[in-house]
Amino acid sequence: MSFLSLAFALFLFLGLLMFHLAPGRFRRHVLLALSYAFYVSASATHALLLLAVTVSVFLAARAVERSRTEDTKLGVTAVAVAGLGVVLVGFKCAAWLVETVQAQSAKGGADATLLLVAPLGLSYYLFKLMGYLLDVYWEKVPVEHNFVSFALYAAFFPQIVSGPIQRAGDFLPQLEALGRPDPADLTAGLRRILFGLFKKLVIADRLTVLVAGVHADPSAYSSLELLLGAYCFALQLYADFAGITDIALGLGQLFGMKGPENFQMPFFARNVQDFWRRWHITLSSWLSDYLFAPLRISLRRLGNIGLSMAIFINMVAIGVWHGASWTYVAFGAINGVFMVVSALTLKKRNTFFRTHPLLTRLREVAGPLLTFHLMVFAFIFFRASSVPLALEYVRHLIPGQPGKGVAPFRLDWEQLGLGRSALLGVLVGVAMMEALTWAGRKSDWRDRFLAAPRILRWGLYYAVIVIVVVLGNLETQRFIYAQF
Amino acid sequence: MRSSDSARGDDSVARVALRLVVFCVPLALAWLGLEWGMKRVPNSYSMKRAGLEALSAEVDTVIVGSSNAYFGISPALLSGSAFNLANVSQSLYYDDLLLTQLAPRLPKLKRVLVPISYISLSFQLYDSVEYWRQYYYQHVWGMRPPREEDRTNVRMWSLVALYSPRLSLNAARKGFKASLAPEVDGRGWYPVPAEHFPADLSDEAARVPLARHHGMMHAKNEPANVASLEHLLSLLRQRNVEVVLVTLPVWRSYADGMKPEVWARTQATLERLTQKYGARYLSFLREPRLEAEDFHDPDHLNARGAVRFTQMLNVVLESSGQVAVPPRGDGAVSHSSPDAR
Repeated sequence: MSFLSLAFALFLFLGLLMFHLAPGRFRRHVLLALSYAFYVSASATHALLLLAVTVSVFLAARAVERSRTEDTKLGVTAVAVAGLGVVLVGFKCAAWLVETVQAQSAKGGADATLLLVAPLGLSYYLFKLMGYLLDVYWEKVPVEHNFVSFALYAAFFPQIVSGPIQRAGDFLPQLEALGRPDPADLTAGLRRILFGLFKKLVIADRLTVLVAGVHADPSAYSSLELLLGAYCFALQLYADFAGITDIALGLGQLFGMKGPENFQMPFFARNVQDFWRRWHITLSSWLSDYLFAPLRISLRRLGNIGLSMAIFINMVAIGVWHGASWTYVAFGAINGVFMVVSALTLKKRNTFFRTHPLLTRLREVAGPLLTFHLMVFAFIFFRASSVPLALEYVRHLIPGQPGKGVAPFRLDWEQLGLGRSALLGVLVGVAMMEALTWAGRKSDWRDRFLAAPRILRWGLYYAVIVIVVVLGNLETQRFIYAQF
Repeated sequence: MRSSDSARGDDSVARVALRLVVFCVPLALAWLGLEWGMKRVPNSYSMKRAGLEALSAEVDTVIVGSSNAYFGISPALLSGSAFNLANVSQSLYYDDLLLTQLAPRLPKLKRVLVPISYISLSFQLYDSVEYWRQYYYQHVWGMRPPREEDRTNVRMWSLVALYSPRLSLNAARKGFKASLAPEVDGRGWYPVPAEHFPADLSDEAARVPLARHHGMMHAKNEPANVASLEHLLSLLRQRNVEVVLVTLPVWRSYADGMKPEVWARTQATLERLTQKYGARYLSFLREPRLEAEDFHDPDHLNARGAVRFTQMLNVVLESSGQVAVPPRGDGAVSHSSPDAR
């Protein structure tokens, strides 16, 4: 059941009704029932897996709590985390295997009979549960004794499709205080959902045809068209993922649950490190806490080499989290190299710019531009269906490739599947998205907007709704990050 | 204390809900207005329904099938009073539903032409890029899509969603006075103008529709399609209506690209069904009397070709004399066009 389907709209309406009509003490039960109903609509079998994993982690955390010795605590935690890791890797590899077999089958080989497709939101809920176990082990969070609350943490339907990966220490206390949601949360949630729909339907989806075309056959496009395609994919991915995150956060707010932000205007990042503090924040901070920090500590004695190794492994892990594919490994490794270079040269760069203050302004402009282009380059590997195809894309980006029958600076809008005016509209949409994101984070701007006459606010909402409905693709069901 | 907090909360939530309802009223009214308006905009499906209802007392021949029949058979050139109910990507599932619904309402119905193309037995509308057309059958004829998952699609209930809000707003700007199928004539035929003449009928050009068709053809669909065809044959035989299965002409580049084993399987099925139900089968697949100038593309006739082909078809249909319904349980009454190869 996609967040963009009519069925989900009905489900949400009925769910909200049930939630608000239920007595306060049963509201978490209602939310849990809704979450499992949502999950069962995707796959009843996978819902059983979710339940089994949840019960296992719930019991493991209780066992950690009861352990009398440090060794037992460590042993139970290690076994449980490893078990979750096996489930994650097993399903991701199986999904890769199924795709490979199906690809072979499409070429006339054996029929794909495996049905081990990755369960909905597997990467998200397993990371939540792994984080919870480690936090319990490190005594950062108390063990949750209420199974309903804990199961809801794992299965909370707004977050299970594409995150954000909320920490237990942030989620569970909100359940304890779960009363009727603040009315302001309801309207804020709806605003957030509308903003998410705008990002997804008006920006991301309008770039789909162009991006799919250039990535399907890079040799058929000019260097300029491929460059445009690479820019467009970066924007599409951002709008798509930020869109579903907004929808998830908005849905949570409708039920009185606040979630963590996942983006902070990442394409304005000053350097690659800054980018990863602004992009998919909940994943990068999760890996930073549970993988990078322990690695950094254990490799400290190796100095910069140890730091570089920790950074590189962490970035490859970010890549591989998306799936068992060499393109994701390449994406992670490329970012690893960027991050290592950035981290090792940061001090020297800062010193240089301190001694050359006239160049500081240039750095403020050039830094985000360079970072954006580095990420655009890395995203080519993220989007490509194989590493050779990504390399072919990069090769054709360079003008004047021998044997290529396309003029390097051709811009054939028809072939791209997106008109010049449509692209301009998308860019205006991106500018609006970033301006609204910026304004939304400034409390004085937000307060001023909320204090504005209703006719003005409603007028703006109506305008956005009309833009979404008229320009958006109402058939859309899929989000890019829902596959992970 | 807690209960008073709760009550206050209730009031606030209720107020927000009320404001939300008020907020939605203009949107709902605008949407309903568009729905009302779009109901007045004719499309090929609604035009065919209106046309057939107007002629229901006299129609004796009905043509179903997909685009090659929609473009390729001009009912006005057939003897008697014929009507073309074919439409783009119309599958046997919908042919069957249409005839099941309409046969009792056509008192003079004596003959039904059921075109069988290369893809007919292995194609399902919901499985294709044209899947959205299935919602037209819901809106115009009240026919539900076969798959449960398609029944919760917003297009089931909303014409604005079906046409897209943008197209609906454009229609509203014109006062809903536009027609989405102005070319369709009073008997349901779409004469494709020969303006692209000469059409590209090369092997290269034929590869495009062949690739598209092969992508939509799945052996798993065959049992359901054969069942639809059998139901249709059985139903019409009970009503003493003659069924003529017809394969329309395609250009040789398309015919050469057809997979022989698939077509042989179709032929074998048709052979079996014509024997079982006493139907006729006419194949004009490689019709030598038609020229390149008669084709719009490798698998569709243009208006000129449709006129020429319909005249040939009419001769063959009438060559057996009066339209006769074979007795039930009769053996094979299967004929091929004398020119078919």
